[in-house]
Amino acid sequence: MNKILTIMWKDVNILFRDWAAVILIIAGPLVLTVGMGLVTGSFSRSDAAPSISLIPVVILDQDGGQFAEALVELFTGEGLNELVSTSVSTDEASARAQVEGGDAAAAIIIPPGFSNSFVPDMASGDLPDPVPVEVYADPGSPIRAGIIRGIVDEFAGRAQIGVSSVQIGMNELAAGGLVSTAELPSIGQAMGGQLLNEAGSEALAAGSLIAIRNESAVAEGSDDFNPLAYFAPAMALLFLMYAVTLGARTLLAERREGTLARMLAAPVTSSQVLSGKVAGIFLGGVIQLGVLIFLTTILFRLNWGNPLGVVMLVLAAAAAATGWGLLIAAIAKTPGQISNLGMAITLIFGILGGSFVPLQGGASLIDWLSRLTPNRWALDGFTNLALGEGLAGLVVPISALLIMAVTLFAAAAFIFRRSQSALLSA
Amino acid sequence: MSEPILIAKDLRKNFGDFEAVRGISFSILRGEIFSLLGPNGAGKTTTINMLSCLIAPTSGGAEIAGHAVIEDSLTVRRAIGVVPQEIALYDALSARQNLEFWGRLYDMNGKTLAGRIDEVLDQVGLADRAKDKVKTFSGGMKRRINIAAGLLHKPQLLFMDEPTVGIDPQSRRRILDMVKDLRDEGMTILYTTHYMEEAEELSDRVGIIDQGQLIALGTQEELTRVVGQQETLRLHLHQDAAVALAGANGAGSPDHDGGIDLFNGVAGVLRAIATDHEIILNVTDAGEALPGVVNQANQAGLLVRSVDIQQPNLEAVFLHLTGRGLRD
Repeated sequence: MNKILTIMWKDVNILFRDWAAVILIIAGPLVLTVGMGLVTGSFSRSDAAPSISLIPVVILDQDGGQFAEALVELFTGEGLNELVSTSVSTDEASARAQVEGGDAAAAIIIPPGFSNSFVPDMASGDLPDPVPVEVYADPGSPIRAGIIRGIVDEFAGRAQIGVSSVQIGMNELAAGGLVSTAELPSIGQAMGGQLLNEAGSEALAAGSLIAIRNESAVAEGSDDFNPLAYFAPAMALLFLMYAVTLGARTLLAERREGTLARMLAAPVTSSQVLSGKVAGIFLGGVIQLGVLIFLTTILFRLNWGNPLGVVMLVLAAAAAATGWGLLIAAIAKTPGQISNLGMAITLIFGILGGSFVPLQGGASLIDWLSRLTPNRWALDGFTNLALGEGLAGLVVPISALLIMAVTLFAAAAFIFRRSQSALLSA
Repeated sequence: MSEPILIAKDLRKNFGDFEAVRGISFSILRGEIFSLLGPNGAGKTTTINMLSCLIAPTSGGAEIAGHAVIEDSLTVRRAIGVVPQEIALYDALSARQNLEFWGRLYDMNGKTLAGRIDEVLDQVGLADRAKDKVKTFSGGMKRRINIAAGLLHKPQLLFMDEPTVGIDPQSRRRILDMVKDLRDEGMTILYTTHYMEEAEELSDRVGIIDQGQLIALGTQEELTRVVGQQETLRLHLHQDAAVALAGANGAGSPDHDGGIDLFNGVAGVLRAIATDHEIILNVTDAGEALPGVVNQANQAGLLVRSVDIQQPNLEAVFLHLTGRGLRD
């Protein structure tokens, strides 16, 4: 283990002694983030500052009850018109097709019996079995789908609280002897009616719900989504790929300069050498991301979200990027090839992964290709964190990044094992 | 008689269809400097790479300090030190940082490592440059740090692969003296070179290697006995020998081994080759052959700058055995 750490530390030491590299991988993303901030008006924080584009949603009411109408009203009313663009559908297949075709981030399907599931039995006071609203989401647009799912859940929760209030009120009245058991059904009906009447529904739709979503859909303490919360990680991830490419380059540079052979002539196994090199590339990436997160927090007062989540995501993103770096090193024949290939992949991944332009989701080819990039998954994760989601919002991105890392490590190790003699003799 | 620290038996290495090493067997005794002498591409580095566990032999094997090179490679690697032909150092790190890194790979650390680094820096004469980055060093200084890195763990057997290639005469002198000092301190050294003078100066025994085969092995006296009383005449020309011969009267171009037939029939001349700015002639008696050789050169129009007569040496041995010069 000591030898792995020795090799790792040597590589990190060399990487961060190269001032040209440090300027490129640290100052580069900072400058670009500032540029993006100026372009998007993030620093002025004016009302005109652009935000994430409207989320396309399709809603289908198969219930027709008052709760269903309230939910439709919530999505089609003015309260959410700066966040979502909702179309009403009358056909379930069509609604699903819109999601599958990438025209909508999610379809909200309100099944028959939804409203009645909130109405307690007048005699027993028990609620019927719940009838959940289905949010048919585009897996290629997890952030947007997550926002829609959150709004629907919030609506259902609020409705549930209202119904529970009615139940508690009825129980209190009965327990206090203020009303007779015979009077309970009619009183419950009156209270339920109050909850379900138009005014109540409107209040539900236009009031607290919207406020709640606004709070959770922005970085803490701000009034709208700060584009820097997107562009800072986007640029950091873009240059993360470049940083791991620099690290991977040292694998072949060590071969060319004879230091790899010299290491292998010492009492060190080839696994230790490779592990040390991999750890060095990984740690270099982690340090680069960490420094950028620290600097953007200090300089731009950017809130990256849950600190534990940020750490987990940084580690997973660096691991996946390291995997790509290793694969490039395994395929390339010379350090120069790694540089060229690495630069090309950095840019391609940046474009595909949303580092330059936010991804719009959908089932397009670009969306599918984006899933091969660490940029896309890490960016999803960082955006989730910035939107206030907790660790649950990182399950998919981190899983994808770790699967990517393991797969790429295995592929690179396989290629390296096959070419070990060439590694020394080239 | 000293016991062998290295025994190589029928070592072979193929790279595809190319036979880089074709069945080499030799042993090295503790405390001696054993040189592998041969031209570039003879198989010296491939042999060292097999012995230092870097590449597996196609067949054959070797033992170092009683341990099989293939089966017990980690133990063998602890017993050996390697000074590669390349400057295998990190330019961005200082001399001390480089040595710290290499020392840690040999399980050294703390005060032991720091003390040993001071010793080897003194040994190579670079103690005052310990904190300077290697990229600021001259080629000769880099070579010396390259050697220091191989000495850190006090190996029983040190492999030095052409350690003087591409450096100035002063640095070469310093390195050769250092190698002799190491031997005097009890270290065993396997030294590869294509410089005949280095092998002659340093070696207790020499193995001459050519085209992947060990063609002669012994002390310098034993080897020169092979050529008997043959001597070597060197004609130093004003221009490249191949160019001069191409423009000379009645002289054909050298063959692919450098052999020329311009001096065929001259009394006492056994063989002649062209290399760089020289024509080297293997002769039975230099005094007898010299007039005829000079006369033939003049007739051909070759501009001879000077002539050297050398007693039997390793180059003559190589010429005698292969028909080619060492620096071909």
